[in-house]
Amino acid sequence: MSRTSVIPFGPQHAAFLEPFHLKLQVEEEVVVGAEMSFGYNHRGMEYAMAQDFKRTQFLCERVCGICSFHHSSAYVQTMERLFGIEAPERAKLVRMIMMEAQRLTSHLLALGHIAETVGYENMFMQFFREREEVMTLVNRISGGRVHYSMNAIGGIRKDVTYEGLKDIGETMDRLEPRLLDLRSIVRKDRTLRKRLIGVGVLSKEAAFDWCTVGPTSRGSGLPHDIRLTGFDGYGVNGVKFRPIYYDEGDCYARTMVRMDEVIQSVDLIRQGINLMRDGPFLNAVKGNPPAADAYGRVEAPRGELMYWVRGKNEVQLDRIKLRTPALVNVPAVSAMIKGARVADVGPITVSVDPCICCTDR
Amino acid sequence: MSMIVSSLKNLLSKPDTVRYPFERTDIPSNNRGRVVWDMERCIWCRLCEKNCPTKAIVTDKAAKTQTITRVRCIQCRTCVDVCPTNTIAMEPVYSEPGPAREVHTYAVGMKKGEYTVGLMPLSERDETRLRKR
Amino acid sequence: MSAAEIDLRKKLERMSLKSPRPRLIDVIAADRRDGTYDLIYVFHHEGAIVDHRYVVNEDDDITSIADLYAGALCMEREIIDMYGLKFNGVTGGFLLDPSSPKNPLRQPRKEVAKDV
Repeated sequence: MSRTSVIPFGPQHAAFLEPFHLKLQVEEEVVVGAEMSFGYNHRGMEYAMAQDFKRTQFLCERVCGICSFHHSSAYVQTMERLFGIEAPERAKLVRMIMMEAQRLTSHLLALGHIAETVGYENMFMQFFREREEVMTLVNRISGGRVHYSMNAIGGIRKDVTYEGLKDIGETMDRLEPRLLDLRSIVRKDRTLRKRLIGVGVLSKEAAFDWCTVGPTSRGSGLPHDIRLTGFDGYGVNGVKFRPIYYDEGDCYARTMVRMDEVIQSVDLIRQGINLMRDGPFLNAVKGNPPAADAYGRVEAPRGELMYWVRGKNEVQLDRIKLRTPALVNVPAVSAMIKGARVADVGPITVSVDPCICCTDR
Repeated sequence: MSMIVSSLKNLLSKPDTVRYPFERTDIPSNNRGRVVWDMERCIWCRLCEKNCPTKAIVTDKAAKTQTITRVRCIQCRTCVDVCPTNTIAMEPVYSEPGPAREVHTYAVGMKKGEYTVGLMPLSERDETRLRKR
Repeated sequence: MSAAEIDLRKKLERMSLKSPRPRLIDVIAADRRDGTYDLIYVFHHEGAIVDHRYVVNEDDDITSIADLYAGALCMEREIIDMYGLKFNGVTGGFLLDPSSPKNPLRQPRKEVAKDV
């Protein structure tokens, strides 16, 4: 009979990029329970965002640096529903291209992060080298590395030029063989497979019970993807898209979902460029948001991101609610780490790609 | 490709990083950076002041000055887009972090790119908070 | 438990037993500014959003649905922090700590754009 002892994990820990705390109950090497605490990063975003609907357009990008464009896309999409207008086709395709570009940066960061957590510095460097290519690309297109500031309620603020689209296409051509190389490394590599296969298993039922979204649920065999239903740019204008999912539910499956989605994003960006036609890119709105409510959903890199906005015929909003993917994915970690070893807690937590500034808001 | 082949390839190829303080990376020409005024063309319409999401710009029509609080600017390019006379431009630089509580004032009659440095006005709440420290 | 809450619970239970099983997206609370609160349970069912809306009082004991969906626990804890509503068997302290302002989203709003 062994004694249960408690090991604190975080708030500051080498494996985490952001502060959150895990209180592990450990019997020798095995984790038997975990308590989580959040709120180290709470900034009161929901309160601040309800102050002025025009300024919120810039503020919502700053909720999270790594899915900033998804946040602003979700917000403007919700506001468009609220105002009862539709963004032009071209604006939707530009949003889709930029969202996929940001998914590339985010997934490559997550993959590099998991490589670093299992102690694989070499692979971490390689992922970040490819990521820098995408970062400089979006800087050339939008003018910002992290905050693109391209969205406006009713479309996009500035059109992407012909040269810009050509630049995106050429960068994707340059990037694709390198990403395919990386995928074959992740597929075959002994170190990664030994470290990640069978670790942190989340069964299909548990994934459903914990309401997980994004790569976390797709790694557990649930083909949920809001790109099929929620966001206007996909599926309707002839974009061919099929969610990627793996049935195993372990850390390796979640990593492979991300790795395959990186390749898929390159394909989706190409499809978007091919579908692009000249035309208007902004249907400007006038007046204040009406006293009604609307939902808006996009598939952020970590999963489904939902905004719910209720206006009140004023510049202020009555209530704005964000359901960020990390809010449901990170608590699911407590189901994954039961029975895992202490050394695996880092990789398991990182494999859901915890974004604490999204969770805490 | 296996990791060993990839590693050998990387070993023999040129590094992707630059020697930063001696060498700078290319910043694209449309990068959103420092906001500057060309005061000869300003018509005092106050559109930049009204549209700035963070209230970083203060226009003084009587003194003929445009004042910007640098730490408040979020480089969103709204002022450049709304300006009817192309008075405002953005220099393609990355904004440098710093604790300086200062404002930059552009006035009519100054040379292009010139500005005077002032102290950032604080709200009452900030004043009391600083005094408490 | 009041009649309305028993009704709420029954409806949510029936929802969670549907096939294919609906996925809980979020539990949203919103102030109605008259001492009552909107409580919205948002589900993803067959490719679309299905929501159940209820109006609750400030001091009602609301039944937690953490036994139907484990993921609902964090959403309920957030509501306890932000609005001070009570869920049976659920404690707050998710985002705020004891020294934080109480029920921050319940307070009357500041005037807009007055921060110089």
